[in-house]
Amino acid sequence: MKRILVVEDDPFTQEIYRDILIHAGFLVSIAGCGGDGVACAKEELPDLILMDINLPRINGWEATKMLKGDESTQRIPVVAMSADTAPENYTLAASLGFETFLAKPISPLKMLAEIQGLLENLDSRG
Amino acid sequence: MALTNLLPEPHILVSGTGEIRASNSAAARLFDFDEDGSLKLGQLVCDPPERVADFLKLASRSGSMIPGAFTMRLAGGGTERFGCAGGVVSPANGRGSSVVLVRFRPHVETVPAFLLLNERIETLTRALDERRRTQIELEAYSARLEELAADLEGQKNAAQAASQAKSNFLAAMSHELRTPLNGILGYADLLAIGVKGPVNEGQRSQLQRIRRSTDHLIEIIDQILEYSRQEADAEEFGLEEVELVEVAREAAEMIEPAFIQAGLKLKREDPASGLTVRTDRVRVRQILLNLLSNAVKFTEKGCVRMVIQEGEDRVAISIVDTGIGIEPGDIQRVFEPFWQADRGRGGTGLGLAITLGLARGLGGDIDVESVHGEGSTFTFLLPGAVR
Repeated sequence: MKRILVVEDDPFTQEIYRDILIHAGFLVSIAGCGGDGVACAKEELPDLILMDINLPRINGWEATKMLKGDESTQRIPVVAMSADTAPENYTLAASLGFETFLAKPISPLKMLAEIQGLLENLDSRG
Repeated sequence: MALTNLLPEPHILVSGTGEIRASNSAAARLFDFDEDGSLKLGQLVCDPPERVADFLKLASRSGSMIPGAFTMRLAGGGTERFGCAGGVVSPANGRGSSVVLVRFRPHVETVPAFLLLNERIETLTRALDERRRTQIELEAYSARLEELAADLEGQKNAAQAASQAKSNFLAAMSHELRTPLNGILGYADLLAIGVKGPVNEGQRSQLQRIRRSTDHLIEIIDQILEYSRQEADAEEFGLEEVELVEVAREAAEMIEPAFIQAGLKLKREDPASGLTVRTDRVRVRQILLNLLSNAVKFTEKGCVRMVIQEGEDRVAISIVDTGIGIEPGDIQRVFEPFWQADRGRGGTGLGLAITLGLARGLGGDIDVESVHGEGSTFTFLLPGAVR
């Protein structure tokens, strides 16, 4: 079973992602802020991280920079999720090494399809 | 002395010591010459002889005319005060001793001379005043210019601040509207797939209506944001060399799900060789996506073609559909913000307004041709192929 770490501060969104991912057969961890997200990623080494951007204290950009700068976590694929869909955010996500940028609101089914597609792709790449 | 006879003023030529050598007719008429004419200048003058001598001494040494004034004996008897000017003239043949020409003016005429001088002084003063005024005006203009420049700078800053405030507001609004929508969308999906237990068919179909309404609302928010954002940062284009065929392929791939869902085919007609244009890649792709999604929305059967052609100074990318077409009277209105041919089809009526704005931002344009009931062709014209 693959493990997915959800870094997200909104409780509704946390619940939605957790439910759909568990329903789809993933193991799920939840972190409520960037700092917790980084700590949790180092400890659990998940297969994929869903990273909200607008987070308290350490935001999603900063947290991901920290993950990409750490040898133990730099290879974990990170997916950005944000309701701020300004074009520059897409560019920033690409330059920071995110796998993709998903605009909120997003249907959980669509998000699930994106994650599954991504994991399959990564698996086939080895 | 023929020439001097033509002069209206009395002229007398004298030697350095004052013997009269010649005079013009005005002098002969005016002054008390003796019959034989062998006179000295001093004999015509009432003033003391030393004054005449002094004057001649000065005049015979000077190259320019020396001013003087004498009281002269008149031909008809009596005396009159005359102003005069004397200076050396060389003899016509260039030999012999030089002589002094004395030119007389009735004393009254010296007044006009002063008037002339005064006039000249006044003219000069006026000119000076004029210059001073011009200078003052110039300074005023220059101050005004500086003021205007400062004003302009202030307005520019204000405009930038307003634009920034608008962008910030849009970003905040976007975030605030999208977060609750994420909840609505999320829970509707969770219910529909039965995460918390099975739902019946009726409930499922109603959940789908929640989904569709939410999708519609998201689309509206996206378009309003996109439209406002376009107004806010019209200048921020990232220019690079863009291979159009490649961008068209990307757009086609991105729109593919919508075509599959609609049961339509998208055919691409690319030029044999590549076509590179210096432009903004993301915006070009967005324009093509918008036109393609419009085409798929209004086409029920047939197909949609995307044709890239190179013109003389422009590249044309046409999206040709076999859809419902546009009524002739509406063809000019399709680019108006919020205008919609058919409100039943959803959307905001901003799609084409945004697309046209994007195209114009790139120095391009969008042409539309349509036959009602047969289909429409939207052509994105983009200037300047690099190759």
